[in-house]
Amino acid sequence: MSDNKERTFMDRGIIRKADIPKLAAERRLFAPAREGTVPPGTCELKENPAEIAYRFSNTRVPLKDIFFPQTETMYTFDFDEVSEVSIPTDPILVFGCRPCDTRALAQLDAVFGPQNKGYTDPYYMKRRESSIIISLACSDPCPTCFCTATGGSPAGTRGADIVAHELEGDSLLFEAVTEKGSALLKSYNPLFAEAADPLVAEVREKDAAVEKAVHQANNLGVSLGEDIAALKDRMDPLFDKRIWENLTASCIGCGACTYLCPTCHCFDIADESRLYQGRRIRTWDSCQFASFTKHASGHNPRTNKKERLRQRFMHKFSYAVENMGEVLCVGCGRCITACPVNLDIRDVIRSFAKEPSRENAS
Amino acid sequence: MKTPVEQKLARPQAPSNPYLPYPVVIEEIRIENEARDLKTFQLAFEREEDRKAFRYLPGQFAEVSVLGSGESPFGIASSPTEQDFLLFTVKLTGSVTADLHGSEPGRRLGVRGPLGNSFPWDRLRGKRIIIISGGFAFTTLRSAITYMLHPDNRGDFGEIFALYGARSPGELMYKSELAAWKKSDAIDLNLAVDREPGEPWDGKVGLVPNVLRELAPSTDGAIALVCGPPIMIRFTIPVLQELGFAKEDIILSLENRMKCGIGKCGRCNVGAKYVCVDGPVFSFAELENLPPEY
Repeated sequence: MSDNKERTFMDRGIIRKADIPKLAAERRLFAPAREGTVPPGTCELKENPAEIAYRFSNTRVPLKDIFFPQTETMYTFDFDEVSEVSIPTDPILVFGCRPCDTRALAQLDAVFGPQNKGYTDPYYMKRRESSIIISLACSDPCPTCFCTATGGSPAGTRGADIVAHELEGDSLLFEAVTEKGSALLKSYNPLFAEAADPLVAEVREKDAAVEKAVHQANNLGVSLGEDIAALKDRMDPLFDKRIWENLTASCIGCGACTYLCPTCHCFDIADESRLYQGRRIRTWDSCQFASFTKHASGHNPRTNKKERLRQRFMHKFSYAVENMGEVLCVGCGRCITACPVNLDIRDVIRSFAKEPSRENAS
Repeated sequence: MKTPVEQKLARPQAPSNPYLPYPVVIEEIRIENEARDLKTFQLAFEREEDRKAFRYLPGQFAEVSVLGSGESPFGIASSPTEQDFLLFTVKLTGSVTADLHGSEPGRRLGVRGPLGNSFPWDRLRGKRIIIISGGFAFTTLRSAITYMLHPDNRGDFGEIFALYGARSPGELMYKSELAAWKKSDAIDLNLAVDREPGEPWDGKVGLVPNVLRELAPSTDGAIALVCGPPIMIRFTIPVLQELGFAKEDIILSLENRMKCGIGKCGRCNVGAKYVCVDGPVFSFAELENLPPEY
């Protein structure tokens, strides 16, 4: 599943930054922007931003929010009559998300799409089907980036239709990964200048340097790209061992890690109504909350934070490997920076990557 | 209409929006127990095409939707051989069930499903069936028994032994079915209550695992279907193993909190398995390899 070796491109071209909005003439454009973000200075994917931001490590909220919004109406009702809502199908163009997020999006496709036991989630897939994703390769990764340990890369292609690179001056190199991306390049052909081989080779060299830097800064002792089960094999036998108590001791169960995770997709379904009119909504939910698994009887299969945090990590590194053939972590590092108690997923990975101490394994 | 058991459970054509419930109407509400906290709701589909689309096998469940309160998963208590209605037995527990319990016949509800796997009917065919249940988990086993006793299906199974226990005689559900099965030669029905009741009682007295040990049904060519509260399950499995049942031949049904029912919302997992799509029915051999998070 390594993203590093899959770089074959169908088409390429150089485009001026100022021309990006023109690509979205018939689409809703989402791009990174700094205007009005909270806290100030952070970057978010915004619809039709006045100015597209370039110098940022990553957007605060992951790409999933566009296709799987934090809250959405599934249908409305009036007394006992259900009315379907029209699922937005306006084609979306996302520009400037990071390769870790597109990779996560490909993983969400596998959750919400029909390959998951034959059930298609129409809310997610309708938005997704008509979308085009143009990622922006990372040139300046942050200290918490560890995509390479999870099988990704700062210029990874998976989940993107086009990968963009910033060039000197005010232009970008576009390289199409999918048919969809290639078709976009073709239909806006006049906006693109030819990209010469030496320039592309130079971009590749920079990519390799960035990738090496990420790997050196965050070599976690496993390479899940090469051996996806490397952690699973270590974690499964230690399921009920003390290691989990030590790793989860500081957790306060706030759930920030799950909300900002680009691959976390758990949701709740609830009714909101006033008198007899209302809507059935779904909202992001978190395995870190006690109510997440609590039965109506009061019984709770995961009663404490150790069990809940263990679930989060087991899902990502063991259960997903079994069910989807990959780890559900792309190494974006958002959970690390968002955690109020400095709980660090890299420490969890490292703890299992090395031989756990006798005390931890008992 | 024959519902052949070999017919693999068509995981039904998933509707284009699997979150939309089929409209149904409450035809009848039966109070099942003395404590009056168990009611069976008989529901009819409003549209004929929905009734036809809702093809299920005993052991599956559905999400019952009360607009304004929410939806909750319940095992389907009716049998596919009862074609005109669905039955759900609901314990008064939270807000959805309270809303349901306050309903009158004629109220419109929604049903989503059928969901989950079923009892392993392809494996059960030709076997002796040992049914063990306690409390109100008997619902999907009512479905299974009704299904197997149907004249079209009865010949597909060997002897059917059933042990069903409750706290007291008044807590046993489905009284009219129990009375009919008691008289029938097609099933060996054994009823039990936890302790000596202060009323006439011609069944067994004792906890389900103890009564099971006493009755000791033969394991010869048999598969056991077990549904009950966790404490009953915990003490029943060792007895079944003492009797000689292999782990693969002890079939259990799990419950976990669920929302979507289609393997997406992520809350009902036990290890890498989702109770809603990989279950709710698992063999003890399968469960033994999963973490005890249910």
